[in-house]
Amino acid sequence: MYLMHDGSFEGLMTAIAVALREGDRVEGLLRADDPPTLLPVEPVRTRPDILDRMGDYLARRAGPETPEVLYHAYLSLWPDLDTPMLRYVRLGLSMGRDPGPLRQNPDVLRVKQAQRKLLGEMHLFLGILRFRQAGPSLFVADCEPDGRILPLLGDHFADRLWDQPFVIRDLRHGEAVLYRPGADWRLVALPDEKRAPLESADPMEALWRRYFEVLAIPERRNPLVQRTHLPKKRWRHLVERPGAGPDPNQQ
Amino acid sequence: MDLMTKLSILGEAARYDASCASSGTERRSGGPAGGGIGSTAAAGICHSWTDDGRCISLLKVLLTNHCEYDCAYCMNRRSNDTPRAAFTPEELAMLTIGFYRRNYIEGLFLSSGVVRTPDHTMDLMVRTLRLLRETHGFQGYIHVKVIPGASSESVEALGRLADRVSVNVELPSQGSLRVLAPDKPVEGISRPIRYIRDRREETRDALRVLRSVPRFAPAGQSTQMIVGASPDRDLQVLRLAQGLYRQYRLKRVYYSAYIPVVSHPNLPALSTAPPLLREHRLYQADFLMRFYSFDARELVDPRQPDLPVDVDPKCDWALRHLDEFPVAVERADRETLLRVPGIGTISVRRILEARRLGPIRPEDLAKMGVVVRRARFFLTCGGRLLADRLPDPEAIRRTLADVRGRDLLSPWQMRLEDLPIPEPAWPSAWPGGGGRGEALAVADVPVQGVFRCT
Repeated sequence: MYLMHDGSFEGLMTAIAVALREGDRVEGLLRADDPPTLLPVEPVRTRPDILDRMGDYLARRAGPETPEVLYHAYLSLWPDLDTPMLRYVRLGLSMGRDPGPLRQNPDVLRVKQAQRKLLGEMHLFLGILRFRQAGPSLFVADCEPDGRILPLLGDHFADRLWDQPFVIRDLRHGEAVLYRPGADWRLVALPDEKRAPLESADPMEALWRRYFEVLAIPERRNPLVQRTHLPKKRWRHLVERPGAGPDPNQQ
Repeated sequence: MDLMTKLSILGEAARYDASCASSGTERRSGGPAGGGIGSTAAAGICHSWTDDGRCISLLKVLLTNHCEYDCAYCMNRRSNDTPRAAFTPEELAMLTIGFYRRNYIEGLFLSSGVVRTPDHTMDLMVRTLRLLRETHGFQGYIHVKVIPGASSESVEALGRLADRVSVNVELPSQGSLRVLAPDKPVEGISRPIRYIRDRREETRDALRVLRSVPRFAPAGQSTQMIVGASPDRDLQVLRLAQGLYRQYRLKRVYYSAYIPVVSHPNLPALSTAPPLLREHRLYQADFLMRFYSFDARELVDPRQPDLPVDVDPKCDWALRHLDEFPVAVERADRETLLRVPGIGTISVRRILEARRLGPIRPEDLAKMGVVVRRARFFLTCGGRLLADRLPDPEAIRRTLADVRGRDLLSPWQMRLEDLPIPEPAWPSAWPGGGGRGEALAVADVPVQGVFRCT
């Protein structure tokens, strides 16, 4: 039997909880928006209080890091990961610890790889996110990450730039972090009418672009290493212009 | 002069400083109660990568590029005809915070040419940092460069304001310093390095008994030396680096391939290509010393005073010690596994954790992050060597050699177009008439380098 959930993290955790109760009868998990299938499917109704309960349970019976591994893997949006996550949980419960180090197991490997990818992307965006001043007291940053990193970025920026109202828009997944001094940051869905690109005449941007240009040493020009760290697909929302400097070999 | 012009001149003048780290301190802003904006992350955060592949983490600028000194290798030397500029502390604070609010940077890396005297210059730098830290309450990362010859009082003032403090040793030997940086007294470099170490140890000891002690350079100190501007060998470079790590507790030593920026009779000609591959090998050796418990003497010795060009230093060591291989992935301890080519610190950790939980099959090694192509001659799994057969050492060496394209994605800015490194013709002004080996002897330097620290 396959369990079908609504695609939210709460839905996934509810489905895993049900699957644990049902035992081996549950072979895998599906999402409501997966293509139709001839497999025997049973829908589960998402329980809103599931996260605290499953979090506690897994931390005690598997390992303290297990709930976080699952959350990060979920945010990675890697396809067909729900069933490996279920098997990851079953394995952890049978071992009485987080199974993360057991990379010989294909499910563990995939879940851990998804987590690593997501955290790597999150770390990259801690650096390459660019805020543009959109008004006297509003800063806006746009990004199009592969995974859903916004839930993991809020704390960092709300602490670091606590006196500065800001919005971080994920244009790819249609969500945004809203922050205002004196309140907690919030993750919200980004309505279509709020996706318009920002017109900015921020004087800092020209200074930053110029600084970026003069900092490169022409004799050491190395576009390959540059693109290894900063792939072209990340250039779109930067203020600086990578790869635009003079190439001494072409002169 | 407008801010754009100043930023262009003083950013370009600072770009030869190799350090980019914003790591070593973890600090949260604390919100409204903390006094100002900013935080630091222990691992550091890179914010961009320039066209030379180097990362930007901090706003790296000189306070001014006016300089009293006339160091031959430096583009800011007194006798060089180059446009000069100076920031006011207010301008720099405004730029730092403006860039920081837009998430361009982790903080400020401030260095300077020498204005009037080292201490006068240090005063200007302290004033800038005070403005940032105290007036603006800036809690982001600050790395500051000590001016050689500065007094302990001014080093103390900087250390209390900055996260990381660095003093450049500039060159790997006293003899080279005397030839190329005649204004910089060796003692003016080593004294602040000792002072910073001692103050950090005092602070650490005091923290054991007292709850609150004024912090002093909590992210430690680093240094930089130029390779390829003097005839010093890798042996000297690495022994000096090892001494700096062990005796002076440095966090990082940076190596900077000399780029001919000025014409000088004692320096390689302007047309000389920077020795990027040599720099890359030095960084590899540096990481082996810091994270793989290698000793400098295992990597280079008087008979082989330079790192190999064709293979990385770890492979080179392994090929010279084939009698210690192969080792068993199931039983070898951490130190032994770390010495296997193709295995790094992350894959060792994964192997150690995984083998406690279950058997490791040959096909699992790649999943742990092992580069099997390199490790196969040195590792057994399930009692069998990973390679089908063990060729002779020369054949292994050829297999493991850096080949154009294969290792191109190395993070150390190497370009394999530079292979092999052309040996610069040492100008005749060097004592002894040039040639790397000879000049070393004539330069009258103990092999231990500036600090006599092996």
